[in-house]
Amino acid sequence: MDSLYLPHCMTIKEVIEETPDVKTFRLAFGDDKVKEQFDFRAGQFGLYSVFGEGEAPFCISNSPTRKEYIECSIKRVGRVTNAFHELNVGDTVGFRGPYGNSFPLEEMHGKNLIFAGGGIGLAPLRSLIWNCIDTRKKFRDITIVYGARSTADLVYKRELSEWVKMKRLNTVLTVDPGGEDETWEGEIGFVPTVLEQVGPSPKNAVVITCGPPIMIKFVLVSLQRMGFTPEQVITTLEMKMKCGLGKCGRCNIGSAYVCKHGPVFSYEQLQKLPAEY
Amino acid sequence: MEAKLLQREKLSQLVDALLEDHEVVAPTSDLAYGQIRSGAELHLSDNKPTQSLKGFFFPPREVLFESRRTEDGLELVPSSSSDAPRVIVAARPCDVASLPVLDKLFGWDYQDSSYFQRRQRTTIISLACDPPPKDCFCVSLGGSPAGIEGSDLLLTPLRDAYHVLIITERGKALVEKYAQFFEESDEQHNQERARLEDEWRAQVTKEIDADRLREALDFDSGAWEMLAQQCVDCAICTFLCPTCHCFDIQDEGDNAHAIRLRLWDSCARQDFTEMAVHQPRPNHFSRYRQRLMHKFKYYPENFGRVLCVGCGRCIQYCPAGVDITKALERAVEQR
Amino acid sequence: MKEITKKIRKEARKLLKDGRADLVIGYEQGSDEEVATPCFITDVSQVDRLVFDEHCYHNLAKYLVGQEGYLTSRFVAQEKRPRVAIVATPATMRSIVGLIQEHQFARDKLIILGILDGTLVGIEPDVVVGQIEEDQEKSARIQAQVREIEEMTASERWAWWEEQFSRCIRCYACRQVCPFCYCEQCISDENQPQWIGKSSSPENNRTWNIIRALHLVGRCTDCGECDRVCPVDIPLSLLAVKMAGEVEEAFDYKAGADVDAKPALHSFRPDDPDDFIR
Repeated sequence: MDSLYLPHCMTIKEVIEETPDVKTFRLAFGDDKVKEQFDFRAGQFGLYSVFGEGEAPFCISNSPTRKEYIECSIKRVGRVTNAFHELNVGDTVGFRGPYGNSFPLEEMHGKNLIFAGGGIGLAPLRSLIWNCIDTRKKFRDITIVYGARSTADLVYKRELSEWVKMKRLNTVLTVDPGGEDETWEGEIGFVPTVLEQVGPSPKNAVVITCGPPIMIKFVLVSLQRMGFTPEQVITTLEMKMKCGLGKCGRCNIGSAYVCKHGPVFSYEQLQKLPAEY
Repeated sequence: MEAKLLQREKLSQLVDALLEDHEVVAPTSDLAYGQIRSGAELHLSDNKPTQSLKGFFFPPREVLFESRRTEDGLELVPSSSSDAPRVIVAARPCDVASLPVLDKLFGWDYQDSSYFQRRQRTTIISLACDPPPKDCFCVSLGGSPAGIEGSDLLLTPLRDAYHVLIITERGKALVEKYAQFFEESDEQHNQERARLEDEWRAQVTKEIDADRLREALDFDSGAWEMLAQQCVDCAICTFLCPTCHCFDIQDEGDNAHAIRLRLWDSCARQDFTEMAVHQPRPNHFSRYRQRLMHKFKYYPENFGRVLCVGCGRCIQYCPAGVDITKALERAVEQR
Repeated sequence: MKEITKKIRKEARKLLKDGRADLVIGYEQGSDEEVATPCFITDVSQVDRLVFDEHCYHNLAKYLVGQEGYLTSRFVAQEKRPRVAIVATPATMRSIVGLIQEHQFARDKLIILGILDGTLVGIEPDVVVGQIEEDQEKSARIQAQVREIEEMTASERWAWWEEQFSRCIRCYACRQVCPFCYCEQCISDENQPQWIGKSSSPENNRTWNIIRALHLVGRCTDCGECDRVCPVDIPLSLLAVKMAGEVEEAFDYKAGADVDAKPALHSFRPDDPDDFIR
């Protein structure tokens, strides 16, 4: 009997320590055929599990254009995430997906893209960023504003350096005041402030933002000041999930299920939903 | 619809015959439906079982798969569930009416195979409520003490015998296979059945206006806090409710040998939406609001059906005496 | 009963009018005459909703404590919490005794409109609003059942309780109605580690029910609510009565009998009967 809840068994091929409490896991399918057939869109998520401990939702943070491994970045905060952090290369984890909707890539074609990310919030954006870099001609200007509490808390540090060097992108990195170390050469300031300093134009633009709720709140304020409308701003939400496919009743915001109608939402959509997230 | 008659004493004999090549589920006491081994175990009473039928399609505890460490790595052994034919006898019409409502959720894009396998292998013989219990409000939700939705056969107790309404092809096949127990019914019997149903419907006094609720229930109303005062988050309503379906997925065991389970859960629980970093429903009233709005606004918006069949168990068993029909009325009046 | 209703309304009216209470917790008629439901009156104009009759058995002490209790809410600063008057049956009062002993709130934070029935209550109500009959038949019945189980052998007893717990659906209603289950994080909700498995397996059910019983030893005042509400008819009152008997025998202590007493299992005495502890 096929089960919706039966995961693939994935082998951990690499563990990258991004920050003191965030690790990225590169997972490989056991079966090459399954690997070939597996496809997804940027913004979708999976349910990842440590057998015997439990399952939790994380975005698929590699791009669909780079499918050698399934990558997820996990911050250690609770039972399942702690269990992940105890694992090593060669260990087996569960993965099922892809679930949820995805970033509206086609609607973003021909537009200027502005990414505003904070902390671990860069993980879902990263899938889309690489997707856009790999299909660069489809988009106009791409601006990335990313920051974290401190230099140590920046994730994907290797890739951030790559993006800074790429001429096809305008990448601005920042840390919160007081979070810089001696080697820091980027900006110092909160993401919303730096975003306003960079001052992208709202004309023909889409903003994709993800980060801690407080950052998002102020990013929205800044964007409004800069003349962006709610339909132009897209985000991806996090909720406690168990089934990931619309049955367990846990992740709803009003009538919208984050696992089915989301996790990607525009601000115009969110304004119509109850403030319960 | 075609109809037959079943003499009262023949019901138990029919059950014994069904047992020869079916599993049979029926009320075993005032507490619950259960699998029975003889017609004598069938428990008929004025009270409907405290627990609904939902556990026979969506079990309170279901093993999804087993994970085992082997020399080569990790092996996953999925569970299988039985496909033996099964008959539910003397089901309450409200308990049966919940199944088409739940079908929508369990079949939404992803087919929940174990749920539908159980639906497939089950024939349902309902028994009309004579009389309907006092807390019921099935009628205003499109149901009835002699409702037929979801059933294959409906037994209605007439003065002398059971009127047997044949509702589906499957019901017809059962009547044909066990023809020796059934007799012909005539127009008089049909009329008696209809008259009795009207009487019982009139005895259902509680009601709700589902259309109005769907339109008028307001998340931002200040009334929720006051409405939720008596509720202690005991979750009995959600467990006994034939349509509540929220569940949890848990692992039990360790990384050498574990099982992954699906188990009943409740939005009334404090930890239902609680994440390590954020809790969208920290207050008790926000959980109370979620339960009522999910049932009467969100589920209808997504699936076109109210997530309630009016069985009244939530009213009957609420420790604090909360009456959902009154609470809903106040929720829309006091926005 | 009608007299008690009148007295309650009179006292509530006075308290709210004089400003000595912000909130009166009592009972009102539910959806029909056979149902009463807890009610929360904050205005003099609402006082005539209050009733007292044979359907008023809920333990209202529950609403005083816990994360959102009127006297202990973590969402409300202490100085903003309401001054509460509570209509209290003997069972409710005995729970209040225990809650005060456990420092959940001080005696002067509560105005007790007490109803007595001749049984021992370890606290003075502020006003006695009436007398009712003790349900001696029910107490006798429960005592008799406890004796029956005590007559069983250990393995018979285990098997009997296993059968009761096998019906448990883990709704936690027993915990939710209990005034003494006010822990911010119940042990059953703890997942690091998962002390008690969440699923309703016989093993998990037995663990949950036994741990809950043990967490209540010496505290439970046998209000009977857990037994009343259990949707699968697990006779939890038997555990409460049995435990109370054990505590009385071992420590000469009765929960709910004296608000100034030190709870037996929360305090150490040099003359403790158990010598392992000396």
